[in-house]
Amino acid sequence: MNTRVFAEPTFAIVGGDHYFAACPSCDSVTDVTQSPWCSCVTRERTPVCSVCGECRCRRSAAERLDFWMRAPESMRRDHTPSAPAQKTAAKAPLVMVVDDDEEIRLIARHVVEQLGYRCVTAANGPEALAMMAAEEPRVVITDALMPKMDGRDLCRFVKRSSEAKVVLMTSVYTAPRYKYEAFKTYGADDYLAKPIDFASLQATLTRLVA
Amino acid sequence: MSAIVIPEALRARFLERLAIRVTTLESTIAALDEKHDLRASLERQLHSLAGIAGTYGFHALTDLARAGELQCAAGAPRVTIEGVIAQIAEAAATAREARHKPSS
Repeated sequence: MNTRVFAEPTFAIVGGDHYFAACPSCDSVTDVTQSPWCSCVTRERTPVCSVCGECRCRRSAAERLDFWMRAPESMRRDHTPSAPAQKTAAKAPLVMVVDDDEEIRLIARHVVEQLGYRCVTAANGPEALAMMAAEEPRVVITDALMPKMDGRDLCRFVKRSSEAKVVLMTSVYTAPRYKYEAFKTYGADDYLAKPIDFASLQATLTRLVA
Repeated sequence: MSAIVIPEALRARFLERLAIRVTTLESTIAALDEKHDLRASLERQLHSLAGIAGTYGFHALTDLARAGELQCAAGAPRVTIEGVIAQIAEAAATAREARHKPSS
């Protein structure tokens, strides 16, 4: 089996769904997907190194965030809920956030998960549509202005091909006529202004998921 | 609604990346001639900054970025947009300094 190993904290993918990472404590390289998971009471449980028993929970918040930011999306989806929340997290409605800005995706995902939903993100319209072939989000929150595929066109595609509700986000066009356009022309179910107001996001999700 | 807590690590990452955003804006405006594609790139960068800055609570930055975006879209002269970007750079520097200042 050919194994590619990268410097910590990157991941190497060796066929299938195996992810190797170097332990920050003992430098051993192990298959993280085969690791046991720690029982630390933290928001994101981390794999335990099968060699030295160290988990990443003891690392600083910045180091742990960096670890999860680099983790493959499928690993984050499958393994990140903390143990007490796992059962409810599995049944929580799925929200997809689509935005070409990575930091918007990060903060939106953080907020959506804090509100009790599961969240996946995509960087553009084609990526979102490809993910929707496997995922079934209840709500798709998409930036209106994006390269590759405008969020408004994504809205049309999603409304034509799924039951998902679509929320269009935009920072400039907040006049009532643009909201009307979002609803009537593109079929959006709701509209969110950027910068994101967390209370509005919560109210929107509550209304659409109910 | 119970308060949403933004992890310090995310906020720190934003401020770190803000310096890169500002540098990229400055490089883009420096290279701007009348090529439509660079102006569109500038507009998109300002659009992104307007959206993310306020989400992290930096509303002054959002206002500046939004003003810059609208000026780009309206075809404002380069010198006008340069002025806005200079203000954005100053506001970004202030935001980073405020974060590193020890609390009294």
